[in-house]
Amino acid sequence: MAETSSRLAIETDDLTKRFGGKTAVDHLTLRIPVGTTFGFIGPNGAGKTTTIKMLMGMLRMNGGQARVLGIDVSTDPARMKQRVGYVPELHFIYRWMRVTEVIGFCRALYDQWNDRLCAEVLKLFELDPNKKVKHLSKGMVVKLALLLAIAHEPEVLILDEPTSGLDPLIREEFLDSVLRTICERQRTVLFSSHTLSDVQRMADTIGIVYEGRLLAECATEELLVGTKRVRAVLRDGATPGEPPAGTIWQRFERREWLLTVRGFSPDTVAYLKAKYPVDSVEVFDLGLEDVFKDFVKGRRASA
Amino acid sequence: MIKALLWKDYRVNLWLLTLAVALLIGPPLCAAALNLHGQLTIGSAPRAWADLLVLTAPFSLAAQLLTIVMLGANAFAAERADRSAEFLAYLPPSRWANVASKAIFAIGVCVFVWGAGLMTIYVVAPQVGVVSADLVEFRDGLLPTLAASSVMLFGVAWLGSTFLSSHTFATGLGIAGPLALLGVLQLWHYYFAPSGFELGYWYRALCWPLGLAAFVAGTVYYVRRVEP
Repeated sequence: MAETSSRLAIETDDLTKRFGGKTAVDHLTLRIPVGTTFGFIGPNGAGKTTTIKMLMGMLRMNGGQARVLGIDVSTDPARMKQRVGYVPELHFIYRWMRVTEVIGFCRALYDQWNDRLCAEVLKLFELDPNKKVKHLSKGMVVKLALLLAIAHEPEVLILDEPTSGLDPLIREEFLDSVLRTICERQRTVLFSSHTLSDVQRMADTIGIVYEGRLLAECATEELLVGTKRVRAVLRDGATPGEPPAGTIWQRFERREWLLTVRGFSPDTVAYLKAKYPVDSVEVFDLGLEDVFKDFVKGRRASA
Repeated sequence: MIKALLWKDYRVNLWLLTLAVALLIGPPLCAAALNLHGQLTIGSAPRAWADLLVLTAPFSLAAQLLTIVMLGANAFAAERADRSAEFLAYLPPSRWANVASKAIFAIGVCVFVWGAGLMTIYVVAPQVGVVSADLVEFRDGLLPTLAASSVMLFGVAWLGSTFLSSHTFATGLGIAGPLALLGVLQLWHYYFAPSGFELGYWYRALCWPLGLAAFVAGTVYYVRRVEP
């Protein structure tokens, strides 16, 4: 376990959080190896932010365990935070502070701080050091938050929907900076976002969470290459039955049978042709957004 | 680390510090203005400045009750109200470091305002020879009650601040603490009428342990709490 833990940046075992009668995170088990960029996606209320807050030691867990860089987040959160950078969805940096004061304040709280990197990013983001936080635009506050998250050179970067509400230009700048940080320093990144094109671009591993549970976790490439949309047109009077193995979502209308199949192979088409009277079978590639939607719709339909 | 936290707490509570200083120097300044207009003369001679300082010290100390209860109430609830506590929560300082900084700042200000008041009464007054009968009465009568009330106001407001998201409510809770104690003691006196019962004595005697217990309970609760 110790050897396994040392190669894992983030690991959770049966992580559970309940708010009254509602279970927000339900026995979630995650394994994120060092150096991975993990895209954490799910619909609103799926438990992403709750999971992240528990990982950051900001929310008490009702069950299970969470470790970041081998440190138990519930017993030693202060030590863990020295090695982790976090950009939340909503920013509550002291509004009365000037940019330079926020930087000075945070600098004093970390064991290490890269002044050169901080100055570089400050310049890159065109942040006015003398401006008060309350006078910064939303995009500028997000940039400041990213600066604060990376200037102490953390081993793990946790981004919780950091680009929500940003215009495309600032989003692009933000993502470029994150990508540059990842490439330069081989950091582990946990990236949660509703903008799936961003996740697809950044993440090498995807985790889909729904109702507090992990529906799928695999390499982005593997998920996209291995998940296909199949359109089978059945002959008049024929009805669909048992779908092929790996079907995560299906819909039948008139004669058209649409299926989304994970772990697609030529055998899938062969199975359909052999088992059902089909006029035609077509196979389409899917983007991450469609894969995600079909996973969630399929889960809702089966619930 | 603690230096940065102290600086932050100083800035968050700057307006309270300003209020404390205003309440400290406001009464003597008012008295000085009245003195200049011949309103506080003894016979036809205006009072000496030191005399004015001593004369107004009880007012200053009594007014500081407001600062003290607000210092306790502001400790945690102010940052929870504007959600800056959430920013602080993902930075490295431990809960102990946070609580230590807040306690050092708040208690430091309390000690400063009380220290200034007590120095005026116990050091300046005898030095300049203006120990009036009124001052002696205040020193031996009301002063211990003010001190005990201050401890309870601060302790209960501090406790409220650790779990409330509004410093106004925490201030209200702080003020309600001593009033509730007075109410309970009055009821006790009314129903049981114990012989030799002295309300003031029991109020002062209970304010200290209750205020300190509330402070300790609040501190322990904050340290054990995970949420910002």
